[in-house]
Amino acid sequence: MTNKPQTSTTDALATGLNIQLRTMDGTHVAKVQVNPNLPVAQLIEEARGRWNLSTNDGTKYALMDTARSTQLNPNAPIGQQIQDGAQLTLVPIYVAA
Amino acid sequence: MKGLPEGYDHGFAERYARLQLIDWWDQEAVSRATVLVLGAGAVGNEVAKNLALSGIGRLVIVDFDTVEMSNLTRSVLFVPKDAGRAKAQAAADAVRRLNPAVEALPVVGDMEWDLGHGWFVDADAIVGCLDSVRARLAINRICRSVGRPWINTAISSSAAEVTLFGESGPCYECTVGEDELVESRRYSCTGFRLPDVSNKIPTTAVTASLAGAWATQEAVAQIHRRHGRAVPGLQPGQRLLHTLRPLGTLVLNLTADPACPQHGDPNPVVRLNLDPRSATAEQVLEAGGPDLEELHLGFEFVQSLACGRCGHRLRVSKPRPKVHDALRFCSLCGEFSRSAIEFSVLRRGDRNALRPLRRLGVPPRALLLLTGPNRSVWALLES
Repeated sequence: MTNKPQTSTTDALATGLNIQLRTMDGTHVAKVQVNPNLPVAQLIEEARGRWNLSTNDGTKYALMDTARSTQLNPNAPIGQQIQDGAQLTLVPIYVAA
Repeated sequence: MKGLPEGYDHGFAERYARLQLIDWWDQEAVSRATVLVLGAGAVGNEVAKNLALSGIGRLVIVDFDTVEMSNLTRSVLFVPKDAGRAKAQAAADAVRRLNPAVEALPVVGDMEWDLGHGWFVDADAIVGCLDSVRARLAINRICRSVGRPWINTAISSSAAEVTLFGESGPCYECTVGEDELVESRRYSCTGFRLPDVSNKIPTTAVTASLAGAWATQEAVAQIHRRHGRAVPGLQPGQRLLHTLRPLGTLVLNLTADPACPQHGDPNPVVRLNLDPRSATAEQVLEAGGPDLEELHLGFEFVQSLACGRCGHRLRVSKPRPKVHDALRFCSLCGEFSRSAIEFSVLRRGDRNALRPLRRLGVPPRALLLLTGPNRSVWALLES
């Protein structure tokens, strides 16, 4: 299954980074090209919106570089944190206790 | 038995005999340790319960909220007759029943403004069991300012997470997006308190137990590490995530944000032999050293609110975060234009520097920033 969370920014760039993006439960997967200057938080928000991921229970999301098990800095550009072809997983962050 | 703490008897040895069979376990270290449990909700209950069973020396349990019947489905320390009581008090009472040797200190109030942050310096482990991004940012800021690690917990109905934030490396604020930082404020843009909005998030006893168990392990690990023992657990900057849907466990390595404002060198802490109940800013500065000129309260102290239209003044005498935004509405002329007459810094010779700090909203065991031209220190008052 392929849902494409593409943004107008990413569509316009020929020199974008190729990434595979998925949710943790594997229900959403997409191969997209993104602008390396795109902040990670913006990509998360775009994917969350396109895939209608729940935030009703206060859940936020982070992006993980799957191969390195590394949670990316939401405020830095994605191109500074991953290699071309990276597989990224949207990981929930919880708020309640 | 590796040696009993002073005042403990053979009941102690018998009670903790199984724990003492663990090769790295040091019951004496555990029984002398202080753990700060910030938040007495479902996860805070689990952490307090587990630490009490483990024979922790002292638990400081902090929460401003009261017990509701709906808490009873996942809060192991509460019973129906606790409904309406302060969570911190009810949890501390239950801890004493579980293990009378534990010194359980309830702090009924806001972790940010009612708890003296000296506890963050002296606690052997700090566990955040709070339910908002704002509160976590506050714990993170305090811990970073004094160079202390802390353990963060969070749950949903199908997941539990525990993160160890070290004294350096990635911190909680590094993981929070800029938009979320703005969104997380519980205060108006003027810094006055807005009405509390309670988020009803579904959670279960199962996920609370999972988070509480791992957070307890990390707290025990912290205690042992302070005594030079290697204990299995998370590395600083690692986040452990258990999910029930899909079923699995992940350990994530967090990334430090080079632009994060919480990554400066912490100031040293000086302990001053002054009675925190009566000490004044003048006395604290004097005891701190002749080169220290200013004492920073850490908040704006609002003396009064003055109406911009009719000039009417309302006496307040409270830290600004405790002043509700609604008070800015002038009851005389109806204008929403009251502005604060306030201060946050006290200098030698100031009239307010002669007032007891307690009267200015400074809690016991507060950490007060003292600054001079060439150095800054945290003052911790101890008598």
